[in-house]
Amino acid sequence: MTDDDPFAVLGVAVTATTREIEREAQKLLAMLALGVGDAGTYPSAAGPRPRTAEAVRAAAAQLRDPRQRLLAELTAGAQATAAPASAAPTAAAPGWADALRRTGWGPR
Amino acid sequence: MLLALALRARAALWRARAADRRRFVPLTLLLAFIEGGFVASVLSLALTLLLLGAPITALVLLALIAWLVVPHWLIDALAIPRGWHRAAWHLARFDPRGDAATWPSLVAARAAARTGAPSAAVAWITGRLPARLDGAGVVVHGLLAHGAGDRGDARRLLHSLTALQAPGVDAQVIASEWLALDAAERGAWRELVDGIATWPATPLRYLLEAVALRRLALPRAPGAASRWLRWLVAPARLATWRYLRAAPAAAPAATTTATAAPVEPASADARVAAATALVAAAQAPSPERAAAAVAAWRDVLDDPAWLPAQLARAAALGLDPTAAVRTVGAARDGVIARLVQLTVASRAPLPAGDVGVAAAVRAGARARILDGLEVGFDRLHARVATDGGELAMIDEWREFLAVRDGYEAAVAPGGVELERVAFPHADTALGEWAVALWNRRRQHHASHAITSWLFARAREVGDAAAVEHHGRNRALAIPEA
Repeated sequence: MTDDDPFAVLGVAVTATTREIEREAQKLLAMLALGVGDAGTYPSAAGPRPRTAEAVRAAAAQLRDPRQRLLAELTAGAQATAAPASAAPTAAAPGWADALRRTGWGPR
Repeated sequence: MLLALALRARAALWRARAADRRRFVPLTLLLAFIEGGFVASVLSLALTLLLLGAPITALVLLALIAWLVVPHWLIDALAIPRGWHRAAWHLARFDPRGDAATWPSLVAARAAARTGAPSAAVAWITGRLPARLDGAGVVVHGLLAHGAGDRGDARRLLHSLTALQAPGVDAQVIASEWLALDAAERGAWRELVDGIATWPATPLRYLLEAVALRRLALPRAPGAASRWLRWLVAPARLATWRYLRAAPAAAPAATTTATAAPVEPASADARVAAATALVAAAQAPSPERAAAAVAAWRDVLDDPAWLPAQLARAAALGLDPTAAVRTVGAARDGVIARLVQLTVASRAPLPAGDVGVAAAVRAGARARILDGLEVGFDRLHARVATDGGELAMIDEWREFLAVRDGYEAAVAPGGVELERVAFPHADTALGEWAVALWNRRRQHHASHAITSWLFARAREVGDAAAVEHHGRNRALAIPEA
């Protein structure tokens, strides 16, 4: 749902008009076809993602349909968050590497 | 005569050492003294024979005494390291550390695991196990699984000894040492400390417990003298040296990092914050992130101004009123479905609340959890009821562990309230299974374990009829083999 935020794919605001969306889509398709600028990626909450012509066309089509646009508006604009801090506790308590093998248990 | 008495005394000391960890070090030293006496006497006799010009007799005497008196040295120094499972099995019948009925299979499995548990060795060892699965059988399969490279299966099986009523001292001793080393390898020091009340002391477990207590800076950590003694009586002294000297862990600063707010929306806008929370929970699922996403969407969707604003927006986009209501409803349902999925997948506690987003997520997650359990129990019920649906006994045991763990993990987020709804399904399917194992397959240990678990769950949910039924079955004595 939010991984392919069509507003992020097109690089437009949630409040963008249909005309602005179409113009941006055309511009991006032209840039992708010519391979100019930094159109090949777009920022997302999950970090930079590749932008393809298919993704641009799909995003524009999605936002052309009022129903789909309303759904997209609800979950658009997610921002990048800090990396999860789950590895820290285990890193603080290093174990005895290879303990089982070194004491004669399991495969050599 | 004197030798026979000394051998008996030594066997009794081995058993006493496994039973009482407070006397572990003195009993170990006493055992070392007795075995030292054996070896000194035999060497003196052999030397005398050599000097008298009877070297063949001296060699035969040495081999005989080694086999009868210190077979555990030969097992530990030769048979296990070289993976000689047959030699280990035969020597273990004279090993003072264990019972001749179960110890040989355990030692042979350990030897086979060193060579990767080849199928011929597995067949040879498992062919010597009794048909009725018991604690030793479970540990043998666990060791062989480790040999075959499946450490997770080995850990599950060895841990599962705690579910058996009388797993046997030999099985417990082997599982105890393996689990202690496995925990030390993973740096799971807390797990080691928690196991003190459950597992018998073995030389390495006893040392590793001291290391764990010290690393966690717990008040009951043994002093330096006690740690040194434990190190002295444990094997692998070179390898354990640095852990013995390791300082207590620093204050757990990492905990504060880990418990920091999982999601920190950068925007003040509630909708963007909710969208951000949803993405964060999907990217790195955790109970905290799922709960944060639910809370964020509650702020958005439960706001009385949200629905009129969405309907107005739908009208601005050109939707007629009927389509607008339907589309806005679908948008809300889509978000709820995503929150349900995240809540169930991350095993987050079900949100409290009788209205709005919390109630919808709670109901959706409950339904999903119960559906999942019901499907699993129906499948189990169908298999048990079908002739020919029987699995190899160790696989039946594995399935019980999976069903038990899956059930406990599934109902935990919803607490007793959810479990009251789920328990009857478990009761029906597992109750029939336990009866079939007891009556049809004579698998009394496994059946008793299932009944005991059902009894504990019935008490948890307050199901009086089930408590009485399983309590009665649980009181049945397991027949002798």
